[in-house]
Amino acid sequence: MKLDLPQSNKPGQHFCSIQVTSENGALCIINPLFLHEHGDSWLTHNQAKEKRKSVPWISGEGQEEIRLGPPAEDDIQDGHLSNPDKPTNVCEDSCMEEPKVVVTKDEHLNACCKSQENQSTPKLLRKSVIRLHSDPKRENMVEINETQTSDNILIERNKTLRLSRERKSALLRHRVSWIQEEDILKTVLKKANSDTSLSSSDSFLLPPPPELDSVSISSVEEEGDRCSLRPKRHHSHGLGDIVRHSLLAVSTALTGLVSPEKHLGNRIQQLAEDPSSYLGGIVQTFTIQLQKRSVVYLSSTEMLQALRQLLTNSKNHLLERNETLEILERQEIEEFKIASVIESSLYKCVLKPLQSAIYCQLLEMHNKDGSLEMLLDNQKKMKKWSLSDQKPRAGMPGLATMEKIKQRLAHMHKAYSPEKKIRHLLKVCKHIYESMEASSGKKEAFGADDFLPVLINVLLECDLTCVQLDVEYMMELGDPFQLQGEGGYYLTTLFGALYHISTFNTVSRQLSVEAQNSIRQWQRRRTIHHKQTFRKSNQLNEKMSEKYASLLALESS
Amino acid sequence: MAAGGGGGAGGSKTYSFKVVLLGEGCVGKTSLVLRYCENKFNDKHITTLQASFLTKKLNIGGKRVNLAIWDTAGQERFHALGPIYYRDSNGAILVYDITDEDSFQKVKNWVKELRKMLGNEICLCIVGNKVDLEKERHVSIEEAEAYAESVGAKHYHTSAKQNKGIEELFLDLCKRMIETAQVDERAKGNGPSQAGGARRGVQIVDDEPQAQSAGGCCSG
Repeated sequence: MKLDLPQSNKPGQHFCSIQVTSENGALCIINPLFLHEHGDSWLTHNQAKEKRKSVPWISGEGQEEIRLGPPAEDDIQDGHLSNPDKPTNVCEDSCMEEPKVVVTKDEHLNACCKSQENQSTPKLLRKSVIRLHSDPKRENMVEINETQTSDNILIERNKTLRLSRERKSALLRHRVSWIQEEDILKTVLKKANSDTSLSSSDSFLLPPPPELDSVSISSVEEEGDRCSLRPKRHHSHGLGDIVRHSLLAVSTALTGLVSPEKHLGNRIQQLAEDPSSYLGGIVQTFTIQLQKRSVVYLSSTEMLQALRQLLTNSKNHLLERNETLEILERQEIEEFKIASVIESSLYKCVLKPLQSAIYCQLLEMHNKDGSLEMLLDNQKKMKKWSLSDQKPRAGMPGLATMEKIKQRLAHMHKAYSPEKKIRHLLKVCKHIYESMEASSGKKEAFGADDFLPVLINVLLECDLTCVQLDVEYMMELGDPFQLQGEGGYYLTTLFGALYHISTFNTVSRQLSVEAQNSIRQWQRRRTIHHKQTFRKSNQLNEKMSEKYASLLALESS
Repeated sequence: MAAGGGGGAGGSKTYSFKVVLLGEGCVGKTSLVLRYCENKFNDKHITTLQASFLTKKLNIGGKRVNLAIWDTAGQERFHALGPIYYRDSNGAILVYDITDEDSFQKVKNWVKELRKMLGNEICLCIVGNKVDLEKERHVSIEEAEAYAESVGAKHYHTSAKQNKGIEELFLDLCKRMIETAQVDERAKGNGPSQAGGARRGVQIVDDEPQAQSAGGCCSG
């Protein structure tokens, strides 16, 4: 692809245009007003960036040229393999498309998109993107004419494709937002964190790094009230879709849409799907084993820990790969972030496909060992009791809030990423605190004395089967380093609440808590001085395991 | 201490400590920690901050410390949940109300349990709260301090209401936890004197899991 910047240096030349010619001859013309407004440094800047990013993943393919198109073939393949028909993540999809589009002046987009994004912030608007997908066989030439009205931003100049107003309104729904500058990204993510975090302070010791998905705001903004940011699946057909795809592809090119994180994520996905790679080998072997149940696990914990071990092994392997080291060397991804980027990618390629199988087996195991039955029985019993006996100081949430909480728990159950599950959990806790505040009438800060009883009462109204599975899933599969902060605290509290319910009215409570501890060798992972206490906690576990063994013997006799 | 404080190594390291708060309901655990983390006690402050889990960042003699404070429910019926909270804590703050003899008894029970479960690796602080109600004191100072010494804990007198003794309590605890952590480090052979140079170059993480990983994948 060659760049031609004919007149961009002439001051006051408003109607110059940039022609961008791609390798296959496609021509893109960029609105000069955009240049007037923003200068042309953004163009070269992004190209440089793009080039830099592309290097690790492309092998000798056009490296010396500035690439405006999708950065690498990897991504193309990757996208197709992973999600042939599900554009759950627009960024990813964009990689599949050929580079045939055009960037338009922001303001045009703004005007066009206005109808749907009244709630969004202007900053986000500026990065709005429309995808335009065009037939690869056609000659692709799109141009933007500055004399067009704001309604007519784009005209694809080949024979057939011309957008009418109606179509545009359809396609605008496909608009996704893209954040270009890091600081904006940070702002958004920070905001999301503080949304999630129960307190407004920086109470995550280790703030959960964004999942790969959160590169698009849509996944960060979980709330329905910002749903306009989320691309909607059911619209992705036909012409609108075509246009959308191609437009996004161009903006990908120009804004450096595929972030290094995304790149790495795609690459990991690709490796995981390739049985000949080390990662693909271990991941696929495990997946098949779990799905076909060729390995028999004695307990749910054993199964989940085997899975966690797989994740940890894969992560360590990926951290040591040359590709990863190169990324670090070039400082494309900061050192403290890379592990979490890898972790999130692994969730996607390991946990996502296995989630239902995991639930299924957990359910079976707990049905077999009777623990689930006990939990549900006690839930019923305690419900009766709670009416008379246990009155928490601050009141229960009202019906409306309970409904929200239940919905949130349902989301939590659906999420495959342990980290996302925890975010949902924090929202649940936030709802509870809010209703505690509302019912107590004063803005007091509540401690565990107040919170735990209410949480327990809330849980009595909920689907404990799902909650139980989720707790186990989060505790055993989550990244140990992310379980140290607020998330870890509330997960522990949730676990405690469930444990309290399931042991309600039983005698040997304390002893069997020790038993629980021994089963969940959580220390190993949750320890703040991870390695320092590694040995220590193992000793502790051994001690506890002995205790547990003797306990089991007692109970069975 | 001198070695750690003198070298750049000590200064560049960040310690993360988990501290668990134990004690009967109504002894003022929540007020104590709120006072410390936000320095707000009276109701004039409108806060949305919750007190079950709080964090605090400190800098002690050039060492950065991230403190995570885990509150626990003090009601007797939740006693059994203690272990899931105090597990892997670096420190525990055991609070009693000086006007309430029972609450001191509870603290003794917690101490026994903690020593049994976690040994001497955890730094214990026994805290007599509500010293503003000195007139109604039911737990004698001598008894409390003697008991603390006998179990290797330190004793503190605090008043969340008057903001007395709280800073000292946490500062002291942090220093002790740092010492414990440094002893641990030295025991592992990472003498702080040489650590400065060595650590910078070495990518620290996960030797042990890595070793396991080799075994894991072969057997899998």
